[in-house]
Amino acid sequence: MSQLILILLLGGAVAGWSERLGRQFPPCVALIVLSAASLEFLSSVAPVLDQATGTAQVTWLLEERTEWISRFGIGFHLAMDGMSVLLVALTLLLGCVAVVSSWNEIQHKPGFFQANLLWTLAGTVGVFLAIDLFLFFVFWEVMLVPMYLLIAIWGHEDRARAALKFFIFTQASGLLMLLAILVTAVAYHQQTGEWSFLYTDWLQHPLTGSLATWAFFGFLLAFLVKLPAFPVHSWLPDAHTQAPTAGSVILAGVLLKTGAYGLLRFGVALFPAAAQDYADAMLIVGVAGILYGAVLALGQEDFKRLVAYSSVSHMGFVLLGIFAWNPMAWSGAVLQMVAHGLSTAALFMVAGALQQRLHSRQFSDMGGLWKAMPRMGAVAMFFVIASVGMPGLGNFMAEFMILAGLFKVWPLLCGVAAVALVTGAVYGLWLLQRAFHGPLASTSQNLVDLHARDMTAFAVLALGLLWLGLYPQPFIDLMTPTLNAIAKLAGG
Amino acid sequence: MTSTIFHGLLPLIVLGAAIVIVMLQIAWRRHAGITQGLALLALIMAMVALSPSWALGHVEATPLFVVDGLSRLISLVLLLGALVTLLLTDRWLRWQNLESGEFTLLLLLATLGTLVMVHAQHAASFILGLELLGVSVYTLIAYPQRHGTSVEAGLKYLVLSSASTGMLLFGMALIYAATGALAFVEVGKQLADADTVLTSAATVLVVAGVAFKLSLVPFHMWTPDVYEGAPTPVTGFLATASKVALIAVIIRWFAATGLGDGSVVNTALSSLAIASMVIGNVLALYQDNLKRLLAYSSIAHMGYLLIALVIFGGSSTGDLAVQAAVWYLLAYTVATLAAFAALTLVAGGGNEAPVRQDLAGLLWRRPILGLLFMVALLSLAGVPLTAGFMGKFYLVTVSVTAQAWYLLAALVLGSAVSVFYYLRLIYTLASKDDAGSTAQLDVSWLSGVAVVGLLVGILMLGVLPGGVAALLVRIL
Repeated sequence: MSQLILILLLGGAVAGWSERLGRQFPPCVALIVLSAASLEFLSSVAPVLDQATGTAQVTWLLEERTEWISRFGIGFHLAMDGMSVLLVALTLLLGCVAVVSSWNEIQHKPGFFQANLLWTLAGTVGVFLAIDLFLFFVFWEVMLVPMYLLIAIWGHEDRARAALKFFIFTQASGLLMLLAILVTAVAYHQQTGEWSFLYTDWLQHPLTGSLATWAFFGFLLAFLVKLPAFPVHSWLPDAHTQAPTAGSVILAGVLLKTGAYGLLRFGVALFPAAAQDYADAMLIVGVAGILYGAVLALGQEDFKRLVAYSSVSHMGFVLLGIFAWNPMAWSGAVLQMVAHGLSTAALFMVAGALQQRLHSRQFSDMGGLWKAMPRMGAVAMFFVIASVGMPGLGNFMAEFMILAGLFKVWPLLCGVAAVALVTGAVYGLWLLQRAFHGPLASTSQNLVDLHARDMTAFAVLALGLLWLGLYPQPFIDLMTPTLNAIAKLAGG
Repeated sequence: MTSTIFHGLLPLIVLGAAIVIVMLQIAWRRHAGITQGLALLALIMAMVALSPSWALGHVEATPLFVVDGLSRLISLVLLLGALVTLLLTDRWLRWQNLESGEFTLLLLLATLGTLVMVHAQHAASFILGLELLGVSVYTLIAYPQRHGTSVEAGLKYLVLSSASTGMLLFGMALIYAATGALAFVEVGKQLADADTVLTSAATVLVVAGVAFKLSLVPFHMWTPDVYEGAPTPVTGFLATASKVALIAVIIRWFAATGLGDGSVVNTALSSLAIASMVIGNVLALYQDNLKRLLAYSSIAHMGYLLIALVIFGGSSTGDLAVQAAVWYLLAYTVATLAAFAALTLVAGGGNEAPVRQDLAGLLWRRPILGLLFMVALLSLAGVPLTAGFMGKFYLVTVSVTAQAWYLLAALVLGSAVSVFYYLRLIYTLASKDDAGSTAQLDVSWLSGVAVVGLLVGILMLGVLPGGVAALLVRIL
């Protein structure tokens, strides 16, 4: 696993350097690096996929540890279970998609661009694998800085403000998480006389009392910002709108998932009592996000902004799933992370392709594009419909499981959340209608249909969604041991 | 003088002797190259002279000086800082037309002053070191006499710094009145029988004097003006060496006298810390001039550092607090020196007061310098894998252990605000626009060594902090 991260980190440096050989090299190198990382990932995971080991509390497939800062008992400690396998796979897949989407778009310093892309991915993979909380925090920030640079250097017109907003939201909430981590670590130190930041050690000596609540809030806030949940989401529409296509793909597809992952893995498992105390409040926050995102999506004139607000809405479902507090809803939440990653990544690629051709993201400049670019129209329709929640595709499966899980707990709220399925259909179809139907509005000579390279990427994403929608059982089987273990910890 | 004492004090002796030699050399024949070479040799010899003393443990060298782990480590840091400053001024002096040897000589004298402070265990040696440092630094600041701003800054620093030394002396005198002692340990022993009103007043005076030199709010007014007016490499030296030495001597003073323990002192220090963190960071937001920006940022960083001293003065987690303070000093020193190194080499001969726009696209124009500046800023902002993050980590750990929630709140708030101006600067460094291009200066390989050394230092302390963290446990 450390090799996986190392490949991405060093590969980023190589991709950056390869610009000296020629402008066309960095994306190729990045793709090769990602393929190598995927091979390494598959070859290490495949043999152990059905041999989960560990205690009743955790079910690691793989685990490795290197000493790092022994003064504080900090180790470079990575472990992988079913849930992280899924999310790492998603990260690597969307990484390839992002590289493809940046192939022609990025003309300025392509080497440094691909380097930052790969470093962000390395940080994200690290977040999904780290079980030492110090290491987790380090990776949490490592994915932040290159992402900041991606937006700040290669973003659109208002990039400085958007990038700064993104960084400050994440950094400030991250500081609170660091505080929470240290509160827990110091409490552990006072209980046992040893320093440790290891997740499994902390499970042995859970924090109790009001300190646990405060520590939980520290984690919660960082994760809610990243997710993003309703009152702290405002960085997301700006960041998404201004980021280059590949940046949006990674941001929406992978980075948002780290928030949900952290909430499930650390928030719920380490502070079950505190988390359960605030579960109802979080459910309401989740529903508020769903409805708020959907309503705002209805009012957007900007393609990317619309997709961004729809992300707020869809990630609200993940929050619902987590705090519905049963394995069924949790499976739904994890499936939703993957499905939303695939469908939103595709929609941002469509937006990026349009921006490149029209130099605009406004619906007023679009209309009738189906005639000019039928392939793009078809692709957009597929992913809009997926994102709207068409049965047979991944997003439906996930949202259905979340709502079914929630129904057991709070039927009324489930009914309110389900309204979003309707509004989702409205803004989704409206997007299609305004961009692709009607008379052709643009006079641009530049309306070239999608390249075969892009079509391949879209096809992979579409297949993934179909698989998730038609036969999700393998994915559910993969994550069930993890979720059962968390359920045991959470007493749910 | 026994051989243990001789070995313990060897770095001071080497540096003192070297200063005499350099002075004679300048009197005999002026040659900038020879002077700089001798100074370089002197600093390296002093560092070599440190090495036999590591095995000696705690040495009571004289009633005035003590040699221990803290003094050795901080001496090494100070010598390295002086070395970096010297390497950076290699071409800079020529660009500025300042190639008379006195600049180098003054730098060595100032360094000797800091070393004296670091070893001081007596009010006399403390003041002696402080004044040796102060007088050299006034002159260094005003060294480019052609520039009105430099002279103004030098004068300002002279007047205000003398006033603050006056306060410090008055405080020491009150302590002497109360306890009849000047040696730190002796003061500690007599303290139980002393008049608490007198000692509290004395401590507050000492703290005020020190706060002045550390530029803590509300004693910070001089900082931006002096930082802006001083020649850039001198600003870097002033921002690091003088503060490092002062913090070291204050740690020793608190440890020996126990004067940091009282609730009055604690409240005073906490208020200074919180005010510095908040006000320093907020005012830094409004700065366009980079040296002023770094001045306000250093005010804020001294506020962060003070957290460790507050907790050290008033709790049982003393060891961890000292380690935190020392680590933060290391991180602050290397990052601040790096930032000023980048500014020195970018500004070169011409622009002594660069504004933000002058650095636009630096990352593309001069990648190594741009990278150095970016990493320095990330470290100051406390982003992981840099020295500054470990510093913040130590501070937060200490404050959580001591349950100092107010200080923590200010730390978090201040850091969140600081991200804004550091990031804005990084954005400028990476922006596409090349408007800020300045003349290409050829940087000597000596300065190159300093640049690479600083870069490696920041990253090593951040990526592999284990070794130094273990060292701190062993020697402090």
